[in-house]
Amino acid sequence: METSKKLFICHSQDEDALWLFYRLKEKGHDLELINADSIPSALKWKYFLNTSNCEWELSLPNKEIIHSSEVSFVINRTRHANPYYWQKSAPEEYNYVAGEMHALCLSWLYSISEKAFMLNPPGGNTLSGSFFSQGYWHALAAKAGLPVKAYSVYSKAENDLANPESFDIERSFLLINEDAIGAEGLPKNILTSCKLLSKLSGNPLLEITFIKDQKWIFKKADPFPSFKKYGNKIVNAIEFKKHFL
Amino acid sequence: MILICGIPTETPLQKVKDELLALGEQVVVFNQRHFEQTEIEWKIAAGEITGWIKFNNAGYRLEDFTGVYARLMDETLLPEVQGEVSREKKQYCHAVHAALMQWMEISPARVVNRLQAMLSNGSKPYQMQLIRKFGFKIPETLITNDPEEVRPFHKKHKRIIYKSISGVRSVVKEFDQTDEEKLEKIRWCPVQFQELVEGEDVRVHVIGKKVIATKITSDATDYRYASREDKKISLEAYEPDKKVKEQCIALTHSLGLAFSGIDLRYTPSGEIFCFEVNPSPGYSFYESHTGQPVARMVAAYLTGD
Repeated sequence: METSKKLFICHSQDEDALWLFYRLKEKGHDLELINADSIPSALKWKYFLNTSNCEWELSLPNKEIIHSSEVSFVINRTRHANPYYWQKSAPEEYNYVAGEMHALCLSWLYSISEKAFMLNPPGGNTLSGSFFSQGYWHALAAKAGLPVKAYSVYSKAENDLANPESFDIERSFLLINEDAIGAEGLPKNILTSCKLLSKLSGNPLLEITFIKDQKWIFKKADPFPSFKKYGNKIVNAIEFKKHFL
Repeated sequence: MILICGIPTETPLQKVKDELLALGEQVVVFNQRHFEQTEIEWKIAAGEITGWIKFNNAGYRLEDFTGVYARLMDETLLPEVQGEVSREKKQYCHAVHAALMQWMEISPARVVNRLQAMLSNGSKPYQMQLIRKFGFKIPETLITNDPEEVRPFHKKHKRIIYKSISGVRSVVKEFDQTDEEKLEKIRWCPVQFQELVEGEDVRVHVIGKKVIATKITSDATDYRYASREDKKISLEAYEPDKKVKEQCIALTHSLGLAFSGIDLRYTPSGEIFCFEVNPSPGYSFYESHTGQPVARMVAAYLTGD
């Protein structure tokens, strides 16, 4: 079978992802939309793994069949793998099945990302991108060489009073596999550190937000950003990726 | 100074604490069940992490802890937050644990183990894909919701086992005629099947760059439950060859773990299969049968050895 399928996996409520999908389709790209909500209800899961190989076949509720050898590119926005058809069962049974589906989808997405280009691959326990606590992001940003805003945690602080919402001027930009979108004016050394942060965090697609005052200070990072605000720039950035063409 | 976190009466925690005290270390114990008497605050600024933890009317600077050994149980299951308990109490329980665990993730201390590093154990096939990169064989595995896929897999391997895909209810059972009769039920939830690999079990504990291994002989499918199944079990110290030790150390470090329990099986033909890397090993089971000094090794690691 040919390795040519480009998949766009997202939930039916993910308007941002759907916006990007339809922009890419409008430009004539052959991209298949997979409803992430339908994956746990697959009519057939066949996932085979041994020392040297991993093969899988998935028959979705809409009768579409995808095979491991076909996929070359994936935009992955899978947040969860909820088994809706178990919702009426006892909570402990539902939780067990949800845990099993999550573990299976994590492994499945990881095996795709080993062979195909994926934005974003799953993290250690998340299905799309690696999510960290705010403190962890700050430590990672500092490790990547970025100036970092002080961050504190206090067990008795209510509603994060330890870090009151600031009204600083913020500036966000997006990294897609080292291409920067909306990063005009960003100093070269800061951009280099941002690329390192993207790599350290395991998120080739990462939105990074700075406080822009006298200098650029890291505030937060998000592997699950809104796409719309980047307009055609994100569409262009993806369609010219060599893995996409 | 070393911080120990969890339920202090739990055997692995108690043993490490005893070894630390024997080494003359100052040990501070955070008892999860006393979360209401605990406060923690920390700050990261200019790459420096500072803060304090306070319980039992005593306060400690977090930067003074050079080692942390944590075996935290799920805080939502603590007896203190069961039944009719105020929402505020539950929220505070979560806040203390979240603050502590976030600090452990970024603290420069030797932490056994950091949460982020422990996550791969939540999906067994995912972890097996990481394991096989280190030269170990992994059992042929089929995860499916289609009974018609299981039958040829069973026929091919003659003997297969099944177990959960996640870390929950992870008891291993051999597939038999009774299971064949209820195979249609897998249509409701995919199940993980594996070839049954015959051989001898070896549990390898890696701590830092050191290795302690134990050979387990049992006629149970899952030796951890041998006594429950009324099966025999015996354990003895084992010395893996240098290459296997290096593989185990490399695998442990690649997962970001300082301490691991690796389940190997040596086949009669000399192949070595790796089933799992346990990121929070209940090592005391092996130690109590063999007298191997796992707790002493963990304590030594925490003190910088």
